[in-house]
Amino acid sequence: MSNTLEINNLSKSYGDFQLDNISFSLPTGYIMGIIGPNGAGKTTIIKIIMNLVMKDAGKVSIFGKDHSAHEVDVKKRIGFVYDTPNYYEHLNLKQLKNTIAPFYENWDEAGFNDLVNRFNLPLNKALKKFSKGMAMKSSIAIALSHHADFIIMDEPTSGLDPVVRRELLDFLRELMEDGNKSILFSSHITTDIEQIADYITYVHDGRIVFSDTKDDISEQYGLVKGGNELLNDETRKNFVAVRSGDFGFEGLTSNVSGTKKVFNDKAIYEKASLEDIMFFNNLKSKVV
Amino acid sequence: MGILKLIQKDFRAHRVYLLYSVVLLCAISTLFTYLVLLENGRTDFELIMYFVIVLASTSIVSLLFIQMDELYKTDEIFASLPVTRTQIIIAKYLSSFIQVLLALAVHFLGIQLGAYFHGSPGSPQLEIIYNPLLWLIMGVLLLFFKSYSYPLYFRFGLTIGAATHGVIQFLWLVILILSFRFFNLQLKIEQLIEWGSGQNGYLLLTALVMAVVALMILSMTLSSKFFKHKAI
Repeated sequence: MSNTLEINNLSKSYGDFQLDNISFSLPTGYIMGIIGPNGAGKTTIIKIIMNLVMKDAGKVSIFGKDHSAHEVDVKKRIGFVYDTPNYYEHLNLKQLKNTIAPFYENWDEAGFNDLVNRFNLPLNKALKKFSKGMAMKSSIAIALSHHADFIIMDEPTSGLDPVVRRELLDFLRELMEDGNKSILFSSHITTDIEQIADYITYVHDGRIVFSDTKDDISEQYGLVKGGNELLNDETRKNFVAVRSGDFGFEGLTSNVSGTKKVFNDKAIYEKASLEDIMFFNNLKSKVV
Repeated sequence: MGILKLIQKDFRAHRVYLLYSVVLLCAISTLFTYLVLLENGRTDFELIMYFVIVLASTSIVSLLFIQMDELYKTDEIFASLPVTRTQIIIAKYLSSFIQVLLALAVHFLGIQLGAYFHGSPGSPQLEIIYNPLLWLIMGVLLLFFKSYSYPLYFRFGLTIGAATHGVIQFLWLVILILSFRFFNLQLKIEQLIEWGSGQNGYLLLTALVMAVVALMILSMTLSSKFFKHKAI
């Protein structure tokens, strides 16, 4: 199985923010979601991949090529969608397409028109009159009309209404049907990632907490609930973080089987959602 | 090919604004020429004013594409296209160069229109304006201004870059006024034009073009160095 994206030991410092030794890879034919709270470093990672921000150290390979040394070749095969698509607002979608299309040798005019029809986008309306959803759909239509093999999207669903979000996620699923495309998709809306991602990379405070398949993460992480009498210094070590109240405790474990051995049937075990994982990791960082 | 596409992109996307600016430049020169002829006078002060206006308006108009990218924050979109940052910089310089040529041509056309509307196209008062050497000097001056202003824009962004550029231009203006007042610069310029007119035109043109090209390459290299490391 080849990798569309490989990141090794990536580092970047920005004043008081630091991306620290980031490594992960995305196999061809899969969707990876990057999750993390705002300011965790998701956008910085994506911008480094796109060579919009220069890395301090590390290696980024796309399609097996260095992303910087083969910038033009690599970008020809990438469809990129920004969280806030900024275009010349005095243009309409047709004019915008006419400015972008010449950069791609394999621009598919019919494919673009199909997407415009599918997303119900007006070709002759000024972009400044587009809603956030329409702007995002336009951005996606443009990014996907040159048969990109690798689609990178930074927070594409933030600010979209539920219907448009659902449409977008369905569309991404359809795109993956041929098995040759890969998608890297950042979001802090964990339910979107849970719906479509095969791999999940969790970034927190500029560090990778995990980067694994959704199934493995689901097996590895769990929520444990029980009475406060079960908690002591020793049992607390089983948790990423714990919160307790008058009615007992709730904790996130990254070793469900090990924790079950500790508490046996004295505690309740539940599947942890990505939101739970983010919440407790955030709690841990506040305690530390 | 990437450079050509970037230039085409700018001209295609901003053609309406480009048309407005062409009309504005033409109107400035037409009006100015018409009024000078109407007052039946060509004072040296008016001529100097005119050239300062031509230089300032051409400078501002030739920044149109950079202004648009700054206004709409489109740098990130175009930097994600299959082009290198060096290509983006070269394209911006070449676009600007084309805009300067276009603006000077439009100003020249405006003078003709002003004289035509006044009914005195062959007026001797306009003789000095018709001297091609003068336009060449203005073109060289404009490119000279760009050679130090563009690295400022690409290093600090348009707002800080333009403010710094404005201060430098103001200092130039002060120096120019003081030179006219205390060092008889006007006479020296006239002597320079006279000297230039007596030289081999092709040789002089070649030397000037080469000097400008060298300056612009130096400026482009510097801008490219700044822009390559800029976080977009």
